[in-house]
Formats: sequence, structure tokens, C-alpha cells
Amino acid sequence: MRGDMGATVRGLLDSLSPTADEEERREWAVACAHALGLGGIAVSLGRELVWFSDSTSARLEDMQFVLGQGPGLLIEDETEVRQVPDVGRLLARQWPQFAAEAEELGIAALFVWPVHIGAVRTGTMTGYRRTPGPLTRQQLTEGWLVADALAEQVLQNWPSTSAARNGRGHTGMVDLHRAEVHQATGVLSARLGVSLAEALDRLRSQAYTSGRTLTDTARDIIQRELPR
Amino acid sequence: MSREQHIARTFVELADTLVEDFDVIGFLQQMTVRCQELLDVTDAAVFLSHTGPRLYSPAPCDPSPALERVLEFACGEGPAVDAHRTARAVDAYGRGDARPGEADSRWPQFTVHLRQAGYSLATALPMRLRQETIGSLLLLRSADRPLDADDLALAQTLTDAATIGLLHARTIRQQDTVNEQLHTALQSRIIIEQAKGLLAARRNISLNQAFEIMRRHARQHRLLLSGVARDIIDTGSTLRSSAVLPRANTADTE
Repeated sequence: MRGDMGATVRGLLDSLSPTADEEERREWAVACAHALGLGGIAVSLGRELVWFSDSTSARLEDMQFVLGQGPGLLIEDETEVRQVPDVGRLLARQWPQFAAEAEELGIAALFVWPVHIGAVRTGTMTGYRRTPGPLTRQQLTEGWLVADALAEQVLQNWPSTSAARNGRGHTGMVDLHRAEVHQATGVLSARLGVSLAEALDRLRSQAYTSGRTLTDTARDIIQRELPR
Repeated sequence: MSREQHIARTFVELADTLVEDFDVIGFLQQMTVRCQELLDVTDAAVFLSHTGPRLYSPAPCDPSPALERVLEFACGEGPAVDAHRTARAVDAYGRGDARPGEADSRWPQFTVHLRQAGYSLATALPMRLRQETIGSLLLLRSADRPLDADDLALAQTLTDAATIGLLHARTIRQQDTVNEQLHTALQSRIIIEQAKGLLAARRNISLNQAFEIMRRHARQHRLLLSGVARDIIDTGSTLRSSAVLPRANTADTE
């Protein structure tokens, strides 16, 4: 994927393999960031940094968690992108420490996309740029496709990436478009009295401990718990 | 209503997307229903391209298990994928294959499930507007003869109209690309599936029954299906009746 600087976001999404290793994923993130007109992107789930294109992005995510300041922590509406087109001006009053350190890293603008699986907020995708100004509409909407692709990768790879490679765990394609997974998430949420997010976690850990696919596990739950 | 009136009304429906509250899921669902009514086909399904080489089916219906398998494999191989890729109509023969072996070797899994589900023919038409192909329409038939030329022409025209409607729906919301439409369709579908599971488990009913309740509720109270789903998730399983649609909902008038 090296040298793919002019690649389209669609082309990149087609090229993302579910079995990509750490280095391939990083290269993919770099290419995506550039296709979106960004200097770099990082993805955090909960408070865990799981995917980043470069050290500046990684440092930025760390800073937010360490300082407890930053736009990535404040995403409330999962349908909107949070844009900070001018970090120095817009963030200085709200988060003086964060703004100062971000400027020190040479960051002029920040953009945060919520990463979600239906009603389950799984994390954020944060991109930065070294020049101020908003994203174009196209960059903004293409960012959503990248966030969707990352949500799909989340279903496949986290939290058990390395363990899954060592034999047990679910294998093969996990598809965001599989209705059963989402239906079973709803079923578990109602049966266990937990949030959809926790229900999805439980579903994934059930699949993982049994060594079966997410889809098969979901199918079993539906068959066991619901009348036909 | 005469067939001509029905066709005319369908085209008006497919054009009626330049509204603030356009619901892409409802729109696509309505399109498959109209295909079944107007064309000599048993089942119809819309596939959209989102991310990756696979297609996906955004309509949140619960088909029969056999049909579900056909649609599942159609996302990865077969006429729907090829029609999208080549921007041309593509056929696959199932039961009573006139040219046995051909479709089998090209799309082994799809063909097996097509046959097992009792279909004789699958025809996929591209959803395209000039250079942009956004997915395909898959028509499944149980009858032994292929679609006649008139039906095929009508099907492609319906598909073209739906594609134009879908691509135009974004102009009112100032969307430069179809990406947001695809993102919204995917995420709405997921929310609807999550809500179906939640409601079914709460009331101890089947997923189909849960979906029927949601659909009926959306229709009666002029709510978007995805809004009803969101309410179910936010409140447990209560169905609220506050109307959010300012206009009559034409999405479900069957």
C-alpha cells in the first residue's frame, strides 16, 4: 500500500483485509488519513488507543486521557462529527493545557468522528491537520465510511487480537452487515438487563471463549431465547 | 387500481425523495414491495455497496430462512455482485437450469442456495446513474420461464428511477457524496436489528412479530422506522406515539 498517496477512500476500504497485521493496519491508516486530507488518524475504544497512523496521533490521544481534556472526550451526539478547525483559538479557553501541548505538536485543526455499531458507541476516530480550517463535506462524509470500516474491524479484532491469532477465538470474516449479531445484542441486553454496549461485549466474549464465530453464537442465542 | 395507475404511482413514489425527512430504509423496502407487485417475480431485494467488495442488503425484513441464505450469499458472489461491478444486467439459473454447470462453476455457493430455495432464475440489475453504480436490484423467480422483455425493461426503469431518487435525496441535505446516505442506511439498519432483538426478548415474541409491531407503530404514528427503533432502545421497549413526521408517510401504504 506504500506510495498510495492519491488513493481514494473507497479504494482503500476495499483493500482493508480482515487479517491485516499491525504494520499493514498502520500503513492503511496513513493512507486513509492522507486520502481524507489529514496528517494522521487515531482510533480509541473506551480509553484504549487501538489504532494509529503515526506517533503524533498516538501522542494526541494519550494527552487527552492523561489531561482529561480534549474534543475526543466530549462526543455526546453519535451522529455528528466534532470539528475544531482552529485549535489555538477555539480550545485555548476550554482546555488551556491541551491546546498548548497540541500546538507544540504542530496541530492546527482536530476532527473527531464517533465510531459506532448502531446504537452502541464503541469509540472515536480522531484526525489532525497542521493547517487550520474545516473539512470539506466530502472529507467529512468519507470519514464516516472509514469509521464504519473501523467499527467492523473492532468487531473482528478487539480486544483479543493477539490471543485470537494463537489458535482459539473466532476466525474468518465478521460482518457488520450480519443482522443476527445485532439482533442477539438486543436479546442479550433485554435478558441480562444490561446496556447494548455491554451486551455486545458479552456476545463477543461468549464467541471468543467457545471458539465459535460471532454469527453462530448470535444465531444460537436467538434460537434459544426467542419463540419462532 | 389499474396496472398503469400502479406503475405511475410507483414512479411518483420513487421520485418523492426531496424531502427533509427522507428515510432511506423505508424507501428501499417500498421499492422491493413494488417490484413484487408490478413484476412477475417471487421476491426482490436491493443491495448496496458500502465498504469492501461485498454488497449488503439494507432492507430490514425477515425473509424465510431459505431466502435469507440466498441473500446472504448474494452479497459475496453471484449476479447481484456482478451487476454492480459491471453495471449490466446479469442472470443466474437455479432449478431447471437450461445451461447446467455454468452458474455452478461461476458462483457455486450462490447457485446451491438459489436452487435449494426453489428459485429457477435470479436476475440482477445495476443501480446506476451515469458513472456511479451504487448497488443492484436482485429479482428472484420461481416460474420456469425467464422474465419477459417488457418486465425486464420496466424493472430496469424502476431501478433507474430509484437510483436517481436515492442520489437526489441527498441534494436537499447538501450532501456532496452518496457516502453519508450509505453510512446512514447501514447504521439505521443496525439500530433496527438491535431494537428488534430487544423488543422480541422483552415481549417474548419472534423477531418477525417484533418487526411487525415496529412497522405498524411507525405507520400508525407516522414515525420513521429508525426513530421507532431508537425509542425502543432508549426506553427499554416502550413505543411512543409522538409524531415526528410533518407529512403523510407514503413509505408504507400497501
